Amino acid sequence: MIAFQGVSVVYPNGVTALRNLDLKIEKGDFLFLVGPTGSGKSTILKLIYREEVCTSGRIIVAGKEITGISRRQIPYLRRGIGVVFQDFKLLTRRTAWDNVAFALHVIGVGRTEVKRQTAKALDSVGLLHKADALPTELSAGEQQRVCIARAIVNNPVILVADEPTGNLDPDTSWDIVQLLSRINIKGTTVIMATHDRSIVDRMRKRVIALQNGRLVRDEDKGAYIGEL
Amino acid sequence: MSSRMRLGYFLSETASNLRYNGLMTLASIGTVTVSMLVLGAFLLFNLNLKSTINEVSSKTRVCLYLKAEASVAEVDALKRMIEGLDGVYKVDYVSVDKARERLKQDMSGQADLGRIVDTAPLPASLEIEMVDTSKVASLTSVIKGQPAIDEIHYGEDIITTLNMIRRIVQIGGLAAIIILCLVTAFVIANTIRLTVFARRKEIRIMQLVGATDWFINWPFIMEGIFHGLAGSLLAVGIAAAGYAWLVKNWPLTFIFPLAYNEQALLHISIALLAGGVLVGAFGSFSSVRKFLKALA
Ligand SMILES: Nc1ncnc2c1ncn2[C@@H]1O[C@H](COP(=O)(O)OP(=O)(O)OP(=O)(O)O)[C@@H](O)[C@H]1O
Ligand SMILES: [Mg+2]
Repeated sequence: MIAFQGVSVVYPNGVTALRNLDLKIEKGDFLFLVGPTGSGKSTILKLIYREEVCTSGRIIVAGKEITGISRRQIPYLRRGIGVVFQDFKLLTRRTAWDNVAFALHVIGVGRTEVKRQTAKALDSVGLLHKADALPTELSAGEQQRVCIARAIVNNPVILVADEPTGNLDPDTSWDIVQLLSRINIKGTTVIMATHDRSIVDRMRKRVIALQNGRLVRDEDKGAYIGEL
Repeated sequence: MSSRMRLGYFLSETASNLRYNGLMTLASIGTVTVSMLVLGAFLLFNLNLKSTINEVSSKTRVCLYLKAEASVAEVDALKRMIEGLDGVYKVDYVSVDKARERLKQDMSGQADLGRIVDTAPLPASLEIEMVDTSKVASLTSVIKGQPAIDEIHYGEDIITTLNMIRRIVQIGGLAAIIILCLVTAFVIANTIRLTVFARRKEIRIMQLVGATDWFINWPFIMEGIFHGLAGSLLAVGIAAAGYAWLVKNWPLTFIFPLAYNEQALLHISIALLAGGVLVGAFGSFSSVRKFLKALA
């Protein structure tokens, strides 16, 4: 589903964020990216939805080499990838419903289909009853659910989450991860960058640890800290 | 999404963009109005100058006074030669008798002059009507040395002056209009940039969920086109009212009547509207494109 081959990223300011990274993620995987701050987790996620471009190496997403794709092809790549953020990035003047529907509208989906899919996505995050609420009227956990609904409304094959529980209390965080896990079970590949040790340790999923832009550990059913 | 729905989406986006920064919108519509008014004034001036030149030229003939000793064959050959020249509409031979006849008519009422006219030594002449008065100078230079010609007369000063004014106005006007259009596009671009900036969060999300550049651009470009259209409509209105007033109150109607050719005025209005729309589209497009490139 996703493959990184000898990927390095050097930012324009000279910071090397990734060094010669090799990584393979299969369809339907649930994967945690862990590592100290600045180790390159967000950079990996940004490479996947092509917010960033690698300096050297090859990246394959959904069977397609994306290293050299043109600007015009980027939107079509992104339609297959849902993205969830730590800060939600919801439109504050629009309702939960509109925030989710927006993602379909702007890629040209027809009105009836928008309705159907939006209702389905909000329902699957358990927020259909708050469809008319503005983000300010929702709790942080609920806002993150709206964000997740927006990310999955287009039925992406990959879901990328950058510290989705970073702003949430432990119980809410666990709910959110459970939600991601349910989405994963339906077949979506989920990649989540996190600093949340208890979640990683409880989930026992594949863990990839980074340090200073290098992959230092890759284990199935792993933990936040490697077992030595 | 059907194309009608898509249009609906674009229109509602455009409308909310316009609401967002009313003052800047007014400023950019205003600049469009000003530049299109200048363009309109230029086009109207040009139209009148052109019709004045045509008017004057149609009354202007080049008159070749012939030497008395020139033979009929010589004159005939000369006439045929001139008829073949560039810019000549027709050539008439005016005999001595005919010239005398004309003079008499012109002086009728002044009976005591009749005798002088009868005895005055009038020359025969060739009268040349021009299609294109800008060719007069080259025409005279070609025929100047002809042996049958005694003197050449034509309203050279006024025609060359008018043509020169027209040339200067055209060059100066075009330069001014180009500069004004660039300034206008710049003002529009800045207005649109404000809207784009205010909506950067939405644009960001649109990019992340896979909206194409065109889909993101359209509402902003339509906003620019709207500014251009509104500004130029205003300009057409002001120009039409102003020109109608001017035509009514023009003090020189008998010397230089103002042109009121509906076809030409319609063309000018269309030119202003098209100019406004183009400037608006260009301004917003350049602004949005720069922004999207930066965001990627
Ligand atoms: N746009 C950028 N320009 C320059 N340097 C950057 C940019 N983004 C990230 N970096 C640098 O690249 C390195 C990796 O950053 P990255 O955001 O991938 O880390 P991270 O693992 O996500 O950290 P955190 O856990 O704090 O989110 C850091 O040293 C960071 O300073
Ligand atoms: Mg990060």
